[in-house]
Amino acid sequence: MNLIAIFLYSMWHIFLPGESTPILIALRAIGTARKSVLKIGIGLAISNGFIMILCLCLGVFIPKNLEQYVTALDIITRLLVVLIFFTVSIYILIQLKQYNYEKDSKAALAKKSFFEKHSLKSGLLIGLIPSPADMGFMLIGSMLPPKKLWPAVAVIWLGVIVSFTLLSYLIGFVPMEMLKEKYNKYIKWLHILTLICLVSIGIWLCYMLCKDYSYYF
Amino acid sequence: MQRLLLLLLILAVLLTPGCRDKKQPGQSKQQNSSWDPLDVFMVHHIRNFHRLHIGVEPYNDLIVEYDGERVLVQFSESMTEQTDGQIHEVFNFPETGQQMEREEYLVFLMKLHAYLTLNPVKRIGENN
Repeated sequence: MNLIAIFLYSMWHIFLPGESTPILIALRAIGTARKSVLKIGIGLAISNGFIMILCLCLGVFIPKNLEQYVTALDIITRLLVVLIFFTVSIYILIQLKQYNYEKDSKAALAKKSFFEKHSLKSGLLIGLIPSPADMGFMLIGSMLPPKKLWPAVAVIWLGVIVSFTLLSYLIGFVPMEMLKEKYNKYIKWLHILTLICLVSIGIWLCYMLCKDYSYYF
Repeated sequence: MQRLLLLLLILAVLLTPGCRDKKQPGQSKQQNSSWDPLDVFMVHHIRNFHRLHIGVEPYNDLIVEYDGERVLVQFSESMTEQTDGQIHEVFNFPETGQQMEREEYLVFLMKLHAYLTLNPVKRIGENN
């Protein structure tokens, strides 16, 4: 029962603020190919789990003195997440500039974007950023009984893999190619909306980071 | 249009550091009272997603008090019972609570979040 609950929690976790899920959705919304989105999702899931296990191993095998580095690590990783959101926003902005919405888009459709060329690598790279939960595992890993800890972590990884893969597979069914062909004029506004959403999330994450550590300033 | 969006994006990036709380004149780093331990990212997440009650009042699962310098954190009796006392062992807390610096408190929240992720059933506290 406990493992099922952990599995469900880890599946739901990918929809929470600070996770890379909006990036996946945004990439599909701007027309990244279905297969590439799936590859990015798989890459995210694999490296997310890898970094989780790595953090846990650090916590279990060398638990001393890790706490002093966690604050700096937290600030750096949260800044990296914000940076990813702004980088993808800039990428969308460049696409907005390059893409000719008014004319026939077949040539533009045939052209492979950066995330289509390096889909798995992008997913693997984004997923390598440890989340606050990973850092928490690092800190309490040595305090929990190994018999309970390792199965729970394996189940969390399984949950992350299932949810990211399922999500990226499902959003692939949004017929972006058909929409691009039929409603080409309006696609521009979908790109702008996606851009606004990503920038808003980035600003909000940055605001929360500043607020959490406001006593430093 | 693209230039306007680019300008907005640059403005957003430049303005976000301005979101931080302004320090009052004569206020030292240690006396920054505008910081609220119940208004940090992880507290919102634990409250909304993990359904743990966090607050100043004694009926909460996690009682948090702040005197402007240090944070006092205490697990409620019901929380201790629900985890069979394991939570005190994991966090190395006395039952009377633990005083900590703000930085330590943020690290503690990370640990608590990881603990709740690994123990999602036992901690459900519906005591208010």
